[in-house]
Amino acid sequence: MREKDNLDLLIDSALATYADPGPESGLEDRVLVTLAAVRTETPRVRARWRGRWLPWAVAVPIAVGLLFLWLSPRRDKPLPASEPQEARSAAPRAIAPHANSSSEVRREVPHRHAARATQPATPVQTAQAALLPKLDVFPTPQPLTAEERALAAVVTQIPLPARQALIEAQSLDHLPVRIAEIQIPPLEPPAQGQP
Amino acid sequence: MTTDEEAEFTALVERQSRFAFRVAYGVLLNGHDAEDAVQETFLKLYRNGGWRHAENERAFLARVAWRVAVDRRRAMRPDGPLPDMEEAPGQALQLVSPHPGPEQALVAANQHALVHSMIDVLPEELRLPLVLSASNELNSREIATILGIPEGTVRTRLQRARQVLRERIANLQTRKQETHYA
Repeated sequence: MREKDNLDLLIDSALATYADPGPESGLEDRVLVTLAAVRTETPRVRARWRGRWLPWAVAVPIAVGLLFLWLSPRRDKPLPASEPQEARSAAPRAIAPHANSSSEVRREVPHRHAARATQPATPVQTAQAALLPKLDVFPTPQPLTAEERALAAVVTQIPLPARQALIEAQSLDHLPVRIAEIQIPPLEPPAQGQP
Repeated sequence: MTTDEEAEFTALVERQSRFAFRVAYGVLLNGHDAEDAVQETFLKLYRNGGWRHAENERAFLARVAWRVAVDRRRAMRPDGPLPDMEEAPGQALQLVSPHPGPEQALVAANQHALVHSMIDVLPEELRLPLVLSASNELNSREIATILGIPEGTVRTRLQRARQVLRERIANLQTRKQETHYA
């Protein structure tokens, strides 16, 4: 029992000095010298890094902004060649007030509406429609076509009897068609001696 | 870091450098490597400022120093096996003692050197709790926190380390007596 106590004391005293550099080793001084060197070095390193990063911090946002502008859709960009001819020509001509041929316009308006009903508008079409001015009257008044002008001249210039005859003729068009009864006489047998 | 904090950190270095050295030495078993680990430990603390919020200064410092020492040893021996703290005793890495051998130490009657050499050749899983317990300010719970093992395991390993040391010292003393009477 006594021997065990002695061994414990020996182990404890040995442990107390195990891996102890001692107060005279100067370990603390060396650590402090290293820290002092780091303290003086750290501001210089930070300034160096700050100097390197400053141009990047300015240049990168500018480059990103330019890239964004370049990639954003352009309003004055022409339609691609793959667009259908009607889609390219119908929208501007149908609404433009200075259209040269009113007959073309009237013919193309239904096409435009039909195309819009069946196909979604492309971004370019939407942008172009947004650019066109909005009018107060819808549908937009258009000048008379040649056929309409001829009809108006007939109505206003021909004499009254002729006009009434024309009206009657038009009213007859609405009556049901009457077909005369067909009568087919029975065939008589051929006389003897004839072929 | 303010001037007051600089002074506080300097005081911390003066107060705990030797303790950090012991922790690092317990892992590395080499004075030069242990001192490098101490330098690295305090540099880390200085840069990240974690020492300001440490509740238990010694336990926190020991944890950092132990981590630094383990990383340093891993870097020195990238291919060598690393002891797993949860492994069974006896499977841990056996490092060579820098001190004189047990026989030479006994002949020189330097009992402390004898015990130091025996501690050096202990398995690391027994040596580290023993070295940390040598500083009386760390209890079993704090050692368990530092090493990341259960508190009961720390107590078991401490008892086992002391038992191994006692047996080896007793065997050497018996052999010495036999040599003396022969």
